[in-house]
Formats: sequence, structure tokens, C-alpha cells
Amino acid sequence: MRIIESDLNKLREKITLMGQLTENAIEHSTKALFERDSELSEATIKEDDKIDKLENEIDKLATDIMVLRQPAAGDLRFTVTCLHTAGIIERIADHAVNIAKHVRVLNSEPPLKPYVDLPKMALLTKEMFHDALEALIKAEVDLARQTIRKDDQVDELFHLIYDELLDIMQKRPDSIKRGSELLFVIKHLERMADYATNICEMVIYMTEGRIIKHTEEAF
Amino acid sequence: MLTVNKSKPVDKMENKETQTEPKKTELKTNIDPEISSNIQMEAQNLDFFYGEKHALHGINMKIPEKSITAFIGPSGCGKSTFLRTINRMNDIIAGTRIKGKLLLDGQDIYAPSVDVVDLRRRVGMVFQKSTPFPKSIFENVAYGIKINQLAKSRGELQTMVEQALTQAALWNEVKDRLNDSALALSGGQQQRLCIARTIAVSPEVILMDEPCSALDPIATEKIEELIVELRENYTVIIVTHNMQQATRVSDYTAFFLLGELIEFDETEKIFTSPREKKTEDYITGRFG
Repeated sequence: MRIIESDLNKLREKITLMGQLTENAIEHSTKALFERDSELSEATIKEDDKIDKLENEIDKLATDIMVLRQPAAGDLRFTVTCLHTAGIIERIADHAVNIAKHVRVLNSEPPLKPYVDLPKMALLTKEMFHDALEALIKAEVDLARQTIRKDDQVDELFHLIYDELLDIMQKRPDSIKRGSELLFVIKHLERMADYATNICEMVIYMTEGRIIKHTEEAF
Repeated sequence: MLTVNKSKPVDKMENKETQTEPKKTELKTNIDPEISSNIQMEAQNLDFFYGEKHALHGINMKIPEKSITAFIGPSGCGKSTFLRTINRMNDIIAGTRIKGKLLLDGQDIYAPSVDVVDLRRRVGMVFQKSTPFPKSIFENVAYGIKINQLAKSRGELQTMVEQALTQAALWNEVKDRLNDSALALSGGQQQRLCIARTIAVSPEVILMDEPCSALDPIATEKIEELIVELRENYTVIIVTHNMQQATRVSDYTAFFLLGELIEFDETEKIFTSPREKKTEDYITGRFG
């Protein structure tokens, strides 16, 4: 086995673990919201330390690989992708933590309304992140492309819920506090979906060597 | 009889080229990088044989002037053979033959009328092992100038030797002992002396066959810095087994395997996103 192979496998394992913990964070923070489970939201906040620690470990391992193994071609692109993606995943986890913090406030008040579109948006965002991670780990560029396309659906739901919340807040001033908290929640979800898209763009770089972010280039 | 002069192309030569336009063969892949500058050297469907052994297969390559091109590939892939075709060093090996064309400034260097001695002045070569003559430092550099009658006076000869040694980043280390034996220099200094000797006769192309493989890291770094500086005035082609060296110094990289040119592109592309799986496998250490 090539010497670099075991290092790349370690990197793959760490990014997979970091992704799984972050997927849990998204799942738990949104479940805490929908089921008004404050214990779960607190647990989500506490778990974030593990994700932060993994980001540091991935940064160090990827840097070591570049210095000590001098990767080229596909090995280099995988290493760069992991280094970059670890930072993106960490921010996604921070958004999940932020949702959990909004849940603290929301759970201290009566429910504003039954959630209809918000669970759809949360599920779609979680699926996007899951698929982005799978595309990364399995180097499935087609899955990355399919996932990027889903971002428009998340954006549509964001605008739909945003308008609905604004409408409620205009009609019922007593709902402004809860409505504002929920606006933050949907913004966090929307950003998570954007980050999932960024991961997919990195997967395209990793597999095809093309940089498509900030370009008009078709993915 | 000089027929490969850039400034004075000979009509006869041009006619010959028209008559013997090689049949274009389909490339398996588009191996040529985007080259905007002038082409210094071009191989067209080049095949090379050591007797029955077919060492190079249909090489097509355009090397731009004032650039550094690295040839990489496993041992026996043909990279050194190809390098040695560029100044016809293979001519001295019995039983070798060549098919196709190798153009320098648009002129076929294998045309019968080409003066091989003049060709080797225009296409200098630095070898893996430094090859100083058992003479003084001064005489090593002056030798080529003298036999090519490039200096009109002793003063001009001294100036040309100093310029060559300066360009080769050796002048400051040897200016006070020019009459000492070249063999007393360190390995790295001897290699820079060989580069100075090559530069002294004003070549257009400098071929380097693993010029740092016998040197320590510090001497290697000096030679690499020198190679990059040489690009200002010369087209440099370097064969190297050290892929980090190729990434550090070259603008373009050509990957050879089993006598075929597998891929030729900008070095950055070859080492980050090669088009060919064989290139990827080689540079990531999966074979070779």
C-alpha cells in the first residue's frame, strides 16, 4: 500500500465522523424545535465541541499530508477538499447550534402555529447535507450535481415561510418575538443548504479538477 | 553549411519541408497545452529506434521558447532518448534511426544539410554527472567560445567567460581562482561550471538530463534557482526523476511511458488535474 494511503484513509474517516456528528446536530436541533424538546437542544449545543475538535484534527492531518507526503493530482485534490470542507462542515454545525439556541427561547413561549413547511425545509436541508457528505466520501459527482439542484427548493421554502411569518407578525404584534426567532431558524437552514452546495462544488473539484464556485460555468 | 539558422532560412530547406510534410496521425488525446508564445522546438510524429527496439512512438510536442519544460516518467520510458534526439546526441550510437520530424525554429534538425556541430552549439546539454574538462576553470568556459570562434580578442574572450560564469551564478565563487583546476570545484560548482560552459556559446535551447541527481539539497537549490533564471534567455528542457523538482522549476511537464508521450500540459495542470489516468497513477505513486 502506498504510504500516503493510510493518511488519506484517516482523513476520510475523520471527515466522515465530523459529517455524521453534524448531521446529528441538524437532526437534533430541528427535532428539538418541532417536538419542543429543550433537553435535546441543550445536548446539541454541548456536542458541538467534538465537531470543533475534529475540524482542528482534520486541519492538522491535511497540512501534515501536504508537507510530509506531497500529494499530487487526485490525492492533492482530495486533501485540499477535506481541508476546505472541514471548515464548511464546522459552520453548518454552528448553524445547527444556533437553531438549538433559538429553540431555548421558542420553548419558553407557547407555539406560534403548527409547523407545516418548516419541517419540509429542515428535512430537505438535512438530506442535502447528507447527500453532499456521501458524494464527498464516495466521490460521487452525479450525486453532488443532483444535490446542488435541490438548493432552489430550499430557497423557495425559505421565501414561502418568510412571507408567512411576516404576515403573522404584521397581524399579531404579540407574535413578533417568536416570529423573529423562527426567521432566524429558517435563515440558518437556508445557509446550511448553501454550505451543502459548497461541499458539492468541492466534490466536483475533487473528482473533475474543475473549480465551479464563483463562476458561471455549468456544473 | 548552416541550414538551421533562424534569421536566414535557406530556400532549399523550406522546399524540402513542403515535400516531406509528415502524415498527421490522430492523437489519442489532445496533449498540447495552450501555448501563446513562439514555438522553439516541435516534434512531429517522431519515432526513434535503437536497432530493432522501437524506443519512441509518434511523439508530437510543441515547446514554447523561453520556457522550462520537464520530462518525467519511469526509467526506460524514453524521456532521455527524446531529450538526446533534440541535439542529435543519439547519432553517435550505432544502429539508431529516426522517423518523423524534429523542428528547431521551424527547421528540421535531421535534414541532411544540417551542421550537427552548429546544432549542438545552439542546443546545449548538461548531463547528470558534471563533466568538467581536466583544465582550468577559465579554460572550461573558454573552450567552446574558442572552437566556435565567437571571440575576436583575448579581452572579449575574458568578458564572455565572466558573463557565462555570472549567468551560471558561479562568478563570485571562482573569480579569484580562474586558473585553478575545474576538478577542484565541488559537485554543485562543477555542475554550474558545465552550465556556464553551455551558456558561453550562446545556445537557444539548454537540455538538462537529471542535472541535480548527484547533488546535495543546497547545491540542488542553487541549480534550480539558476534554471529558473535561465528561462529569461533560453528555452530549457529538463529530464528529472524528482517530481517535486518538476513542480518547482518547470512551466510545462511532459509525461512519457513506454516510449509514448502520454500527456503534455502546464505543470500546474499535470500535478493537480491530469487528464490521463496513467499520468495520475504515475505522479501519485500508484506505479513506476
